[in-house]
Amino acid sequence: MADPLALLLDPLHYQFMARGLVMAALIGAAGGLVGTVLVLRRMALVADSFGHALLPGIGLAWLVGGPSTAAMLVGAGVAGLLTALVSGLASRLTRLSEDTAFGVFFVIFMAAGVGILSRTAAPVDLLHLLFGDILAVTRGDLMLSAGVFTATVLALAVGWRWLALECFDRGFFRAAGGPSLPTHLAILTLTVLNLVSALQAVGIVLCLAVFILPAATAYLWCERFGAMLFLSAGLGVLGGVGGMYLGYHLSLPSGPAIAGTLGCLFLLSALLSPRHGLLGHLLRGHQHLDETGGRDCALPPPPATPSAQG
Amino acid sequence: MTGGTLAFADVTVCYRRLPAIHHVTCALPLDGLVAVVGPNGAGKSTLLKALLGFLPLTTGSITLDGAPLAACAGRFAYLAQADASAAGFPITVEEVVAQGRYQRLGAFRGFAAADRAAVEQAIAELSLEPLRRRPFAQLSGGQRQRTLLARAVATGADIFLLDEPLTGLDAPSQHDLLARLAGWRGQRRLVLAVLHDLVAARRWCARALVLDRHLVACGEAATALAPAVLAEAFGRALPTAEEAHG
Repeated sequence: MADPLALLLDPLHYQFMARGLVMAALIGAAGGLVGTVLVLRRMALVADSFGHALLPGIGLAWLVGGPSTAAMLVGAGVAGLLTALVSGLASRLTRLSEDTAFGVFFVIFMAAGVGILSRTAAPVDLLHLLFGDILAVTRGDLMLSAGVFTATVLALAVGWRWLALECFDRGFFRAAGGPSLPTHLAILTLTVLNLVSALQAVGIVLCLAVFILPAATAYLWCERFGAMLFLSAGLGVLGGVGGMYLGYHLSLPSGPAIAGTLGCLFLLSALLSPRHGLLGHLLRGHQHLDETGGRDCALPPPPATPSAQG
Repeated sequence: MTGGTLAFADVTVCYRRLPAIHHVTCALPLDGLVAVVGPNGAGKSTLLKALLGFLPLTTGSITLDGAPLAACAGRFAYLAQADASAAGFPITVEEVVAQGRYQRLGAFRGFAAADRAAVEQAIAELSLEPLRRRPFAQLSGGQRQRTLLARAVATGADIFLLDEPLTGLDAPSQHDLLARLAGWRGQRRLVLAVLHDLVAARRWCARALVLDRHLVACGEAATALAPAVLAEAFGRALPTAEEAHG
């Protein structure tokens, strides 16, 4: 067995690994935070289609501005807002539901994106966009991700009450005169920002893993919104950094290693969580919640005599 | 008379240019439980949404003590139709009730003594003390409605708009909720509740507002819910409670 300290420190001798680790921690933490809101707002798959819909924006930005992070951010932001706008309009003005509308435009935007990227003269690596390369992140990418992480933390610190109300009970939030629409737009904006931040590292296909897996895992353990936010961010960091080490030592690509680590944490939780896990369900068996105390009580025996006639 | 009225003057609200309710004129004193009754599509929810400012008025005006609704934001509290989608949100009963204070506090201000007192009072009033640390997701339908009503009380509102508050509740929970609401009489709280159970409406409500896209009747429950009035609203004679129960 190798020296555990060496296992931890060895990779740090390489600048690309050190940068990758910082990147993984940043997008893991920020992704865990935004993911919590997306999971509780039931927008997990909307976020996924969002990620794909950013592609044409990034492609066009690449055509115009080259592979610069700033151009990508602008392109992705424009594409993201456009998707939100047309999908929102389609779901309000037609009989399409919100998820169908997002599905429709995600496919159209994705097709346009692949088309644009295939026509670029520059040697654009589509695979790179789809799957990312966390070992190739630049200083600029790190700065962007640090900025997005800071913005995410600030937005949650300022707006957590509104976010909680928007996710929990929109009708009440609106009726009380709360800023429901701005809150919804803020969620979409944070989603776009975090997608762009995670894009370089884990790519469009796997970035959902950084959003959804830590939040879904935390959801299995927490009964409070605040606790879920912290646990989800912590799990994001653990999965990101753990996945990087795993990838390094087992010679696996980093993106799948991160998603795989987060996936394992989720599966373990789904098995072991005392309240919501499979094992807990099996152990509790036929127990019911009693009306007021919430304590488990055994199933009462069947009535002694079947109901008498007359 | 407790003074103060909620007055509708020639109110018309349209969805996509089709009037959902039209030319509604009536006045309600700001006290007691009022049943909002009518067939499906009669505009009952529309009336509540217009009161909340969710829908613009095509004609007419709604005033509260003579002031336009826009100036009365904090006085309304809304309980939407039971919606299971929020039930999975990780939050305790106590925290749900505390949400009633969020709009007053904004983003930054912490809970002051007055806010904590309002939350405690609402918890006590709705008998939620034994449940206060329970996750909202684990509550029964009746307990959930009670929690959401406590949150509405904690806002400090004096006009409560309840859209089909009995849906999904078992008979004892329905009874409990209506008894509590009817018990507010004399506390200067107006409750407008969309109800489908006409027997319960007759039994518990002080007044009734009967809609069939226009106002059919508005007044004391006994007269507004008379068989002839309901037959007009529903387009057919309805069996009375005695007939229904044989």
